[in-house]
Amino acid sequence: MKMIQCVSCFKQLCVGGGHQDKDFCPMHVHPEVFDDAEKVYAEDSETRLMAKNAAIMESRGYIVWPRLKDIIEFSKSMKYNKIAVLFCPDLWREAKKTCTILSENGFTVVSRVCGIGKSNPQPPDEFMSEVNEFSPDIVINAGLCVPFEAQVLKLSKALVTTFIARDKKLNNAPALAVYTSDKWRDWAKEVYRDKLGLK
Amino acid sequence: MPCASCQSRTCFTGSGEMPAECPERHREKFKSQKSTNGFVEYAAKIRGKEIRRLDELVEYADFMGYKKIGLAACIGLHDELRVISGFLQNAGFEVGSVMCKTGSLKKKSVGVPTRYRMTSETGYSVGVIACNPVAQALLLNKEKTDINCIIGLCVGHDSSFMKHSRAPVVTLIAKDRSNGHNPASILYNFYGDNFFSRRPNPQGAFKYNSKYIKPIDVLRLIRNKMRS
Repeated sequence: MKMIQCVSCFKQLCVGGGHQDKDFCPMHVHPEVFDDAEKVYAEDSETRLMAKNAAIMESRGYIVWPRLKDIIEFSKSMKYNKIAVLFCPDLWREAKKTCTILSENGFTVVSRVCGIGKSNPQPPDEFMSEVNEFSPDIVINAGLCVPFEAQVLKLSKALVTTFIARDKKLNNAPALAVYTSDKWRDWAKEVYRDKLGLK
Repeated sequence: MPCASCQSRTCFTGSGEMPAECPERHREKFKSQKSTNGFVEYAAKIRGKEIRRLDELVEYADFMGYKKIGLAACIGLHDELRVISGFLQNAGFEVGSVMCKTGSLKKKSVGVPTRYRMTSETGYSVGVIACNPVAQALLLNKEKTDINCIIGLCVGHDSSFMKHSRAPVVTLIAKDRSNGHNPASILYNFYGDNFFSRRPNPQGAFKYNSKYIKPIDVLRLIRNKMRS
């Protein structure tokens, strides 16, 4: 069976309240899921509050605030106090600075280095039960590798948000893999050709 | 657990004295008997490799035997989603993707006040439709994906996506609107320091705030338009 694919959609009518009658559009294929989602928003007060505060935070700092400021303001609006920062030993410098900025903004910050790569390595479940015992309100992922992130974040009792997506080759900016690809360059050529009026 | 401010780093070097508050001293308390099926050794191998995050994801999916990958993307990253989806399909996975505005949930219905709805406080258009991370997670649950990837979801939305997703979640691109999706960059430079250490002058900040646009600004805009 074909999966839902918003990649194939170029009209994006859902932004205005409509949808496409094609077999890739999720609003056409699974309309019943959205009723379930609305039920979740109605019943789960935390999710509803998160949706509200995230929309407000987006509006307050649109295109101006960096992501760390977003995290700080979002945690403040949700009245979170305890923050746990999980990081990779390759990003020790970045994690230190992140913790400094967070604690300057009035949070109780705790940080834990990843267990993989230690001389006595730590499996994901042990690592996360250690973090859960501190009972943080929000867990910030400041650069964990893909395998560890996939296994660890599922076990967290608190909410999780990402600050840095670790990328060893592209210096923690994984989006550059897209922007330096051949496909993107070809698109950029087309766009500039139109904008500059070239042939 | 103040690992970030640790100086000795005994757990990695294997030499020297552990600090007094080092969590390594209480490791036995959390010992679990679950076997990890060689995951720890595998992750240690991946961690040291100098590869891109996309390749890391592909290698991990191969290791775990995953076939279906779900992508949850922001509407502003549609082009990036196209590139990544094509890359993963070429690598031999079944890829499904959902955008964040799916379901056309109204911002009014989740209780967002009017002044935050159509235009942002910084003066840009943000629309009246809210992002719907819960529907994204439920849709990908319905498609029975093995692993879900986040492509640029905002701060609150990614945590509620992770909360409702059944499959493990990985962030491929962390969104940062002001720094071109490179959130770590503010930690390295002078202006990042300034952003957090100094308060902006309100007189200057008013210019970027739609609430404080004065009639003279509108007149100036019209005059500039007539000149050009």
